[in-house]
Amino acid sequence: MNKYKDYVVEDFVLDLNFQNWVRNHSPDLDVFWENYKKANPGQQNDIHKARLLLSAVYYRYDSNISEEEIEGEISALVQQIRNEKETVLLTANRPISRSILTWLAAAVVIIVGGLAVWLNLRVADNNETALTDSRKTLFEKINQSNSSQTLILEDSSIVVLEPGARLRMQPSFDTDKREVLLTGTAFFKIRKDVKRPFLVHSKMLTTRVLGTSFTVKANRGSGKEIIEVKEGKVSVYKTADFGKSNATRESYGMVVTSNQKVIFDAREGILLKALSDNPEILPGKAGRFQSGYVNTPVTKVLKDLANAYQVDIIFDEKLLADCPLTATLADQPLREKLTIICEAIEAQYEILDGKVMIYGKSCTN
Amino acid sequence: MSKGKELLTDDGVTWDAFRKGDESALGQIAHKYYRSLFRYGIKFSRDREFVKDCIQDLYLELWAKRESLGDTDFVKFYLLKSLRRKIHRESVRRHWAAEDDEPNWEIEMPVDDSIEDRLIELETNEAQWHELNRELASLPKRQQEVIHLRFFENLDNEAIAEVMSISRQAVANLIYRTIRELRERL
Repeated sequence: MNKYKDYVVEDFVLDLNFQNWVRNHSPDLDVFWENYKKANPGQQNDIHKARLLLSAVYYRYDSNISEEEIEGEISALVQQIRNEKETVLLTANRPISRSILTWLAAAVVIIVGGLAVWLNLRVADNNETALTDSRKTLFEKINQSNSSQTLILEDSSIVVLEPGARLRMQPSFDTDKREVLLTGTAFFKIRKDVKRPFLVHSKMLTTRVLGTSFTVKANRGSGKEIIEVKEGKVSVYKTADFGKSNATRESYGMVVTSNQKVIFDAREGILLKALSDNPEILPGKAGRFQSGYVNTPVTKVLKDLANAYQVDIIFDEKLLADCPLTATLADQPLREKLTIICEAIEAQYEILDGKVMIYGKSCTN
Repeated sequence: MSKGKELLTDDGVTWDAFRKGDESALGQIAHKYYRSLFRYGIKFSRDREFVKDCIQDLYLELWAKRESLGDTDFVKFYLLKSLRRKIHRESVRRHWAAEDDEPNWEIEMPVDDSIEDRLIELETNEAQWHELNRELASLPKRQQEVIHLRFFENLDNEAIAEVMSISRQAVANLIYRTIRELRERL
């Protein structure tokens, strides 16, 4: 009848009913166990100990995550699956494998932003863009829904169209290049193919990649296009210049690398390079920033920083050679890290042309 | 496969809907296990966002495999085991851990906000409470993991053995040794 009759501490802590009482404090179980203790005074001590032991475990091993946080994660999950369901397979019989989902999760690497309206493509009359030769047969996808839609191209590259975005391309890519036209905002994850560069034409800019991933944000009316790179390397050209011969193209194009962005302002007509708004440490480069630095030469810290963010940091190595630094550089944004370092060595920094310039003085005196 | 013994007969309808491709059913299932997974996963990495990403991936994998999945009775066990493996694999990939490292079990000190009420309720004093907490913190990692899975997730020894890739007997031994060591502190 009384299954707990012979229970000692070990048995109580492993009993589900007992665990529930300690963990959830339900009134029903409170009544049950209080009564039980009164009726079985000989076991009171064991019950007391078991309860204390379990309480300590529940107290110590719990981890707080709020209901809102969980709800947020779940709705992101469900949304991602809905987006996936709307995926248009441009190539027949290509299954949406799990690895593609992983790709997407790891993806947002380059952000290209700004205005891109498909007017007459300036390249219409040169053979660089075969797209315009066969305009009638262009494949076109417009995302008219309220959520993003994923397209998988024939080369397994992925394009995620934000609401309102329009992507156009030929039914199949050329043998020497892959080209698409974009209006609106889209994310690209490009399958590497050194023999066939991937070109995204927006109204004012052309972004050329061999294999990487990026988002194109291109909304009407801003008069600006921004290309932001988180990882990898792309070349950006003014669309008007892109068709020109290789010899001259070099002077118009600009190479954008990790944590940099290029801003093109239609009124000024120039490409301006800058650091991303919030540069991020590249995957696998977290390195020493977990632990911080103690009396480390600042030159070493700056090199580590440059390596982790893949950003150029320009400083006078001889001048700063004897400046030691003690700091924890873990969670702050890059700019804050630079501020901390500069304060410690009484230097200033400036971001110029997508590079960080450190202006310091010798620490030897 | 009778692992986990987490019989969820009332979830049968949700589970069937999930297997037929209903993403809101996945949402419900994901919600049900989220806290368990997070609480377990965070022991292997202090990076909350990292743990959350791993859980998202895990659910996406579950979705991708939905048609080949069996009954619901071992979902929780399966998820815990997969999460443990995934976090380890990801940590290796990010060079936080070596391939053959044991998963790193670590708990943060909880914030002592209002333990006084609790101490009265538990009829104990602060000294004993802290002693017990210290003891818990100094237990070998495996022992901590075993009692987490047993006390928090109510997995049986067989399921714990599967999750941690050790023998059932080893689990039983670890549990009893841990309880014995802890009760000596009481």
